[in-house]
Amino acid sequence: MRFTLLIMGFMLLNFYSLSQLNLSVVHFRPTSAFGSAMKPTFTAELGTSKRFEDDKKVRMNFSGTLMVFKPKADTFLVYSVITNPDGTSDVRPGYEVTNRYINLMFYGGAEYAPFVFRHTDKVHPFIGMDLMIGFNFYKGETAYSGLSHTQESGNTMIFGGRVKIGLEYDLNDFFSLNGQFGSSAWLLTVPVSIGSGYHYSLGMKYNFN
Amino acid sequence: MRTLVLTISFISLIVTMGCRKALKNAEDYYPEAEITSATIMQDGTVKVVGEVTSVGKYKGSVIDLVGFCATTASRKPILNERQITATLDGNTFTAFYPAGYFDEDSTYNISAWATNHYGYAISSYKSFGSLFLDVTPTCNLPVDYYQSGINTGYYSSVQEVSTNEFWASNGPYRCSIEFPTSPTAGVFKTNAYAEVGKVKCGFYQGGSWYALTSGKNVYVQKMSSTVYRVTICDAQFQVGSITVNASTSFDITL
Repeated sequence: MRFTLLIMGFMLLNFYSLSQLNLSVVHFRPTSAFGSAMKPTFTAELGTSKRFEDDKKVRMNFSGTLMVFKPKADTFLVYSVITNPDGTSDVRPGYEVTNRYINLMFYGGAEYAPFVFRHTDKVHPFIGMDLMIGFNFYKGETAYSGLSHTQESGNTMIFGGRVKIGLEYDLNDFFSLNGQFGSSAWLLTVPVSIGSGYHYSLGMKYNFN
Repeated sequence: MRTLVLTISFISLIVTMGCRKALKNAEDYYPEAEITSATIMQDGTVKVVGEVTSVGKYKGSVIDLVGFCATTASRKPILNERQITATLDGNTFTAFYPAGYFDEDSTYNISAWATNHYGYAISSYKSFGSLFLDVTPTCNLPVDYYQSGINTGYYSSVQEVSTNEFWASNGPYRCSIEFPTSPTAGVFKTNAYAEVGKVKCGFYQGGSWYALTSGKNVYVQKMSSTVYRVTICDAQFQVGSITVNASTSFDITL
């Protein structure tokens, strides 16, 4: 309930201030260590930002998204090394299962359109950077033969950011299309770990002012 | 300036982390290994050789540990079943199971395993049956014979004290041998106590028990399904400051 109110408050504040609504379909592909465990996913991102104008090449943007990740395997094979008193080592097999991994993320940042194509003032290539704050919801279990069996469930805060490059095309005074490619990374606080990935998105913006 | 440096560092970190493309399947991250051979050596140890065929398909993966596992069940062994870690040399790794570790009458499925940062993998197994060693002692002694210093003779009886301890006796004179488990064929070493690859062995004479000096070979030949022949050639034990040479050979019947 608290999260829902938080989202609604965030969106209403920004829609009121910026009078824009942008809805994008995002394809997110995990990379690095995070990508070893999670599959790519699709999601929607709801945000707001002003239009680029000839005399306004920098704009602020705010958005939020919910990403639901599915693991690449039902069970991951993990192991634990036990050092015996005589100095020898035993390798104990184990497994790790992820039942739930969801990120709720809010972005806030700036985009910069350095130039406009010569023959039209409707196309705006841009680059941008966002800071991100959000929550991770996780449920899973880990077990090692003869040692331990742990079930974990809960949520933790995440912090991160993303960089992006994109293109916006103004259809008319009310609608714009935009496409974007970017790279992002975030830090989970408990337990400390890093998630990362890159994304493609295609969206439409409505200017209701 | 500091803000600019921090911003550029932040952007670089994000771009760098986001650019390492992931592999499609979780299994692609695990290493791969295979077992090459299992050979019983003259000292009764079993030499097992394996090979790493993949360190893991993700760039930068390295092997952490390698080894073998074995089972008598009709399946691939579990990682910690009769597990032994091995030494990796290039792509090949070798380990030695101690003498007496395997039952020579059983067939074993032996697999190789390897670990890296992402997890572990076990190879398909190979079956090895009758890991039975043809032991040849370095001396040729008559059966039930003993020679201890100036004492020589033949045992009048050999009795099973427990499943892994046996006494060969001639009156008050006795040779005792204790195995770590039930007797198996192989070349064992004398030791203060019985453990894998080692036996506790000594002589009773003059009312006292004298342990054989550690590190001497004890040859155990399998004569039949229930009879094993123990032969000790030129071992020693201490009686005070005197070193006594001893040799003996006797059959134990299970």
